[in-house]
Amino acid sequence: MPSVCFYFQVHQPFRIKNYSFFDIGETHLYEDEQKNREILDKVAEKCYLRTNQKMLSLIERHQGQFRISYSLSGTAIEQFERYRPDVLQSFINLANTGCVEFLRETYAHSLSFLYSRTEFDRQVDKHAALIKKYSNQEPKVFRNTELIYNNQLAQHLEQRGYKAALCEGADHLLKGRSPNFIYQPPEQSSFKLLLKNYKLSDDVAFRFSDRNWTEFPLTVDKFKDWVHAIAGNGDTINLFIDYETFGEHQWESTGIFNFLDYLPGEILKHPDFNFNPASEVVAAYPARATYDVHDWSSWADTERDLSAWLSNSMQEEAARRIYHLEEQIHSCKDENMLKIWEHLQTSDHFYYMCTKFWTDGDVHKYFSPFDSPYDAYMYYMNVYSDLECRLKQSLLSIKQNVKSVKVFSAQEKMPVQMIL
Amino acid sequence: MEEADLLMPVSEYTAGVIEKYYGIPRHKIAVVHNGSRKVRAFKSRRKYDEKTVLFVGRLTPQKGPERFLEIADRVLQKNSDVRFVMAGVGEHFRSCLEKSSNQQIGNRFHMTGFLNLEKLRYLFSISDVYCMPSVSEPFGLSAVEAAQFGIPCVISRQSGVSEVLTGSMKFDHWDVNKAADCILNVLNNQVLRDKIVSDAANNLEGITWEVSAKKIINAYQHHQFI
Repeated sequence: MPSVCFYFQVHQPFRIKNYSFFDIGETHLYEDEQKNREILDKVAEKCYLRTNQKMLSLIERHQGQFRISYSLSGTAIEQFERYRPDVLQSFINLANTGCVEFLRETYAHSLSFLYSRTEFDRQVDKHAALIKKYSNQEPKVFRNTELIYNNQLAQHLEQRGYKAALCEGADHLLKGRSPNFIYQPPEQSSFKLLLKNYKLSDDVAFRFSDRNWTEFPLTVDKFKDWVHAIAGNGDTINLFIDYETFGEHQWESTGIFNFLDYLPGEILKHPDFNFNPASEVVAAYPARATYDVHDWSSWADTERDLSAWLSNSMQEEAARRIYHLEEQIHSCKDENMLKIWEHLQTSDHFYYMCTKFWTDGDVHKYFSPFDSPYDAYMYYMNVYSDLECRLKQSLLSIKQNVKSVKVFSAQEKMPVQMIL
Repeated sequence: MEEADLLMPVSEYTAGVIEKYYGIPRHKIAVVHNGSRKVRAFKSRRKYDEKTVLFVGRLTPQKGPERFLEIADRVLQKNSDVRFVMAGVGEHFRSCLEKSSNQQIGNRFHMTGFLNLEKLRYLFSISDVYCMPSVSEPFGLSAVEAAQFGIPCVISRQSGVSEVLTGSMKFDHWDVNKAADCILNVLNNQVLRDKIVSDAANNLEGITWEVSAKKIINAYQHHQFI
């Protein structure tokens, strides 16, 4: 009995403003608050509220048979808290139905696993606490930023007690095999992998309104037939989709909401099919084969590797520098600095610096708040410089305070701990 | 140039080019160095700790922006507490930005893009060294402006201004090591720095439009135009 496993990614970065060299030391406000608020408002109205309402009605209509998964980045939740509590409430309402699962990811939607395991663990724990707070869920299924994945990640996650991870079902790794089964990483007995069926997922996410596509228009009938065709030859059809597809990337006028409205009912007409969130799919089916991923894979761009974030020297320099601050950030014990550092780790900043100017370049440009990847790098590094200066000053004053405490304690013969 | 009775290039450097590459006889050439209008110089407090080395100019090969990057890299290997600021726009903007990241000095190399006069003067007011690594520069007024702000200049010998701004450190534009060495020394050695600045202040007395005008009159008289 195959499951359809929907997972929707919800993410918003804290975009930075055009922070010039002259702003260094002058202002410590890095975020473009107005832009962040405007974009969130727009996406909230066009996508989040509208689609959440649709999901809620589908869950009610199908009486527990329509069950789905989400992953909300910590930065997205933070923006909901700050600007749109109504959106946050609509996700909480979905959580309360018992039919919606919220997966785990890195708090800042970051590349932290590539640079620091301690920072990765810290962010995953922080995200887990946030998800627990709002949904009371503690799922053991993980999805890394943009499905960035390799064997090492699986190994690390298993050691941390996770049961499964989501990743891209890439052709060069599947080598002709189907993505519609559960796989496992090499030499790991119990850990499981859910592979994105990128063809069916992207039919909805990217091609739905593409008039040049031979299958245009995509009707529920057509799509349901493709899904049903997998009966007998698959355990799970993993449809992993950016949530902003609904109403934002595919506008309402394309008919995407009608498609969503009818799809679950049509799929459920086949008695063998059900909808399950990721954790339940993982529990329901055994791993059928090994999925061996040495090099990094992801769901981004045509290459499906790290090149969207780390393919030129600007991206590498910016990322290397920001992670280099880890020790100093923790030494200064300042929650505000930590938060800024987290926000600067969000993968989108490096995505904006991408210079791949072919098919994918357009996608990067669409999402970027900057005029060019060079501007993105220039302003990011200015922000970095200001943060670095502040850290230096903060650490210096901590050092001076410690010194003065020591002198004082020696004179007064008081235990240092009492003064501290 | 062959038809002209008198040629007045802005430097001996350009005069040499005219003579050597265009075959113009020396007696037809009278060098008139540029002057400079006095600016009201001021100092501002930097908003960060690191000392600052400034480049101002169009980002074209003639101005040597990529050489400035190499010099920055060399300096930073010895002293990481320096910031390099490149002010200006041009065809090499993107390649310079990419190169700075490639050299992994993105944390100390800043590009400002186009600046208005006010911002430019502010940059002069916070800078500790002015660097002009031009491959070929008929004159180079920006170095005079830097000197007016009391900034020691490290400039390429292949520039006209190096003839009149004797209170400066000079290097051949291809000699990155020498340029880096000059910058490091000027940054670290207060005596050297003070001497260069005071010598440059003396030079400035002679870099005025009045002096240039006198030279023109002299040339006219010499060639019996008046």
